[in-house]
Amino acid sequence: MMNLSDEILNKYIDNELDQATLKIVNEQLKTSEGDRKRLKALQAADKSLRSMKSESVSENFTSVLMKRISKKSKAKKEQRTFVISISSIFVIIALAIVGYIMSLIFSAPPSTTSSTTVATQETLNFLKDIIQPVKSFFGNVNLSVIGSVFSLGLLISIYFVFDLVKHTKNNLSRQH
Amino acid sequence: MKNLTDLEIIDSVKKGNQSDYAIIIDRYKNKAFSLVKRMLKNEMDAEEVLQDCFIKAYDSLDSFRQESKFSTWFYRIVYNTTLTKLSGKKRKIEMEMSSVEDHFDLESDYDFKVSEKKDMAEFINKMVEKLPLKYASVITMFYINDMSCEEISESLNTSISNVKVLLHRSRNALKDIMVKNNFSEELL
Repeated sequence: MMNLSDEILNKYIDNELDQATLKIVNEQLKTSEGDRKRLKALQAADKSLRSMKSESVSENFTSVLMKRISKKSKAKKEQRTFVISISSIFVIIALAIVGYIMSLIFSAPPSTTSSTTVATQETLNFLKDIIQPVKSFFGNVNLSVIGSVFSLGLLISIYFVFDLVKHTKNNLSRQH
Repeated sequence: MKNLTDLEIIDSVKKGNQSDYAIIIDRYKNKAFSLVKRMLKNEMDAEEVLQDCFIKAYDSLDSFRQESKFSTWFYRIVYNTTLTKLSGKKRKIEMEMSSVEDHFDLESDYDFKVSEKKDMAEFINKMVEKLPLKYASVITMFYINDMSCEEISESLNTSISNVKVLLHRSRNALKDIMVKNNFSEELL
């Protein structure tokens, strides 16, 4: 006579035994009171576990959560708009520069020398005009002053960025 | 609208009907809450973590490939997010998580006096709460969330046989206590 293990009894409860084993187990249960008691206890445990009810969240859970989701997607949308605006400005500036250079090339008067050479010369002159003031501005004396001002500005910006992140986090945690 | 399937609602949310996500929340909030609460053993933290789970699921809807049921995918997010929360709180969770070979002894923790039959539900809840994290998760998913062993194994990222071992051991432990206290006679 085989001994019914807890594993077999568990499978019996879950209907996981094949037909042959099921037949043997049923025979065994008819004759063994000990196994019947163990099965009964296991079924009682299963029954009591099945009677467990799910717990409930607070009443306004869904509305609070939906507000949070809506706020988050709005912020995401704003962020995307901001990035697109900034990128657009850069693209427009870049296009304007390219356009200006192209206009210089195409508006150059025809001469004996090739138009491409003249246009290149015009572009170089234009770039020189831009670089010259920058070069004088970033002279040896000014360079350290500009560096210091830039570093200070950068530090202040970093401080404000961290402050903003901290405030946002606090606001979010307060909403919970 | 409430008769729609999960997938239909998710399609609608993906198309821009954000408010439809409230139906998904209402459908799963209580069952998921039961799981998170049993894992954290703390009601206040459980609601907060559950909110994070729903937001995480919302943000990842595009990555839901509909290869499995939404509930299985969602409970995986719930389980992993709660684990992350727990691991942030206490490192000792690793000990609880390590394997199914872990031993637990409900009888030694047992200090609950069942005076009347109505206390039985409370007794069962207390016993489940005392189970190690993975056992309590399997029991909650199987008995409260009505998930099959296959779905649980997918959510917990473990094998089906492992889920069955956890389920049977938890049931056996509860049975032993019930036999010792003659509760099984009352129930059947």
